[in-house]
Amino acid sequence: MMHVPDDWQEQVAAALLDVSLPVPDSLRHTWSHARFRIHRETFYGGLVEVLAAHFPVCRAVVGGEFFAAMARIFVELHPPRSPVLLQYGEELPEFIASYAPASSTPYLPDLASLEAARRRSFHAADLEPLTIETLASIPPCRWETSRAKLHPALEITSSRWPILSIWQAHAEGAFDTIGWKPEDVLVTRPGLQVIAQLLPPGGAMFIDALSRRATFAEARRLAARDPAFDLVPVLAMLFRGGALVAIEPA
Amino acid sequence: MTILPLDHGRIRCHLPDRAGIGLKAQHCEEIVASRPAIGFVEVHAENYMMAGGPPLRMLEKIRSSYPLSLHGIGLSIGGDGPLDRAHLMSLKKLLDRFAPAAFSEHLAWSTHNGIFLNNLLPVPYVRRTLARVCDHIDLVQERLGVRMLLENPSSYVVYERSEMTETEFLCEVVKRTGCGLLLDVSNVFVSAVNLAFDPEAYIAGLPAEHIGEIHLAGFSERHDEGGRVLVDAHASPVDQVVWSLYEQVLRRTGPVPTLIEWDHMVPRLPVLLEDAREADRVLAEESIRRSVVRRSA
Repeated sequence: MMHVPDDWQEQVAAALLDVSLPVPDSLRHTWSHARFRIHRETFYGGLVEVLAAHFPVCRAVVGGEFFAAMARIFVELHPPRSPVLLQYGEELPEFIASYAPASSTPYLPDLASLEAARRRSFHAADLEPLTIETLASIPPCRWETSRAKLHPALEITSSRWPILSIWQAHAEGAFDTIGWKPEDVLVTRPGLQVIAQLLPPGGAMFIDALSRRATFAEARRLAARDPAFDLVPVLAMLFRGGALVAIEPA
Repeated sequence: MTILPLDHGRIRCHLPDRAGIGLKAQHCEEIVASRPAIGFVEVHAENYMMAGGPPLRMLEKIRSSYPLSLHGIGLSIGGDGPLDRAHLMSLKKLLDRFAPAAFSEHLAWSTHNGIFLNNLLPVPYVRRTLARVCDHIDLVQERLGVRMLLENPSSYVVYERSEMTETEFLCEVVKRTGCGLLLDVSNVFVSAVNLAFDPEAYIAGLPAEHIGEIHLAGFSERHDEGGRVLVDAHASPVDQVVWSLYEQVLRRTGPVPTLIEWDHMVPRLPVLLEDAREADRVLAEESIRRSVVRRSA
């Protein structure tokens, strides 16, 4: 008697992923090709839909058809490695950068990075942020040598392009004239709502230094390489965004 | 006709014998505000496996008003390889946090060589896979500390060399592992049309007393070289033919917690509640019928 082959699962998985392969012999012959197509559609079509939901602004910028064609190739090259699809598409920005048909929209990879950052922020762990009142409890002399513990929902996306302005134009219909200059974006989640703030010059460098456990003084020194850096508005943004969890004295 | 006693020997899942709905993010605010009269809500476990953030908080809020059913879609119980231990741990964390009244998964596989195939793929019904599925369910029940419900698949293709029918396979799994069944009535009908078998005979072949939950959903229809194909699309109201089959199921099982599933092209909440009300009506009729039959017996 014939048996189901030992590698039945390998055969089915391979045929599912590679649509040029025939349907495995282990599956009953009558109409199996047509029926197996449903599983292939669920894989490719289903995951393209997931990406469209995760990158709605990118999709709006390039159009549904262009996005679907691009996402289809991404799915083939980067199939999900987990049944949890909440962050599926983390490698999409990098992929878009290498996807020639998208090169006429040069800011698209960074826009995708911003959308991925917003999703990471949305799903990050819950921690109670510091309120502005806690500032008063730190004596000025301690401030310089203290380090910050940043909220896990904090993300920074830097771009040569005005990505926050472009994102806002599409997501919020804020169609002011977009100034074509670089933008650094601070993404945080105060009160369980993801917000994005445009960082002033040097702000991204300052926060990046804090995230690497630099003291406030060290971070300020690094950020001051940009002569336009001003500490106060950046700290105000961090507090407004609920981005600080603790200030730890040396 | 024999009427099964209502509770005797029946699997106890702790959901009420009422209609519930699949919880969708876009309906949460309205559910919290309007408190619709539904028996329970069900969520896909994988949609809540994040570190924190708004969805988990919202689920906590809704959980405080409704019993919860946790439905896994990614454990790949029918897979050839070992179960993903990290995924099991994530399930355990959700069970600990939300204390659901029921936990269910599928008789299917979805992961191969570390790649998630985004499908509930069919298992060949042979002795070898039976042993593996039972081992996996034993491990799940031991690790999670619950008696799980196993859902019958919707099928488009079958393996040429299966040694037993799907119902024989399911009966054997129930007998060996002590798990219960989640009977998806729509899946039965979809598979019956696609694979040309009798849905009523299929239902008659299942151990009614082990059916702990029922799923109902809409299917879509298409035609290909092989004729009419139904797809388990979860994108429309429950079809009349599934409602009739559902009534027949309840004749055998008695009232069982029943979920209305709607996962794509999700409509406004009232549309879902309409199907839930219909399920509640059928459930109530079955309860009444049973108490009348019992009294006159």
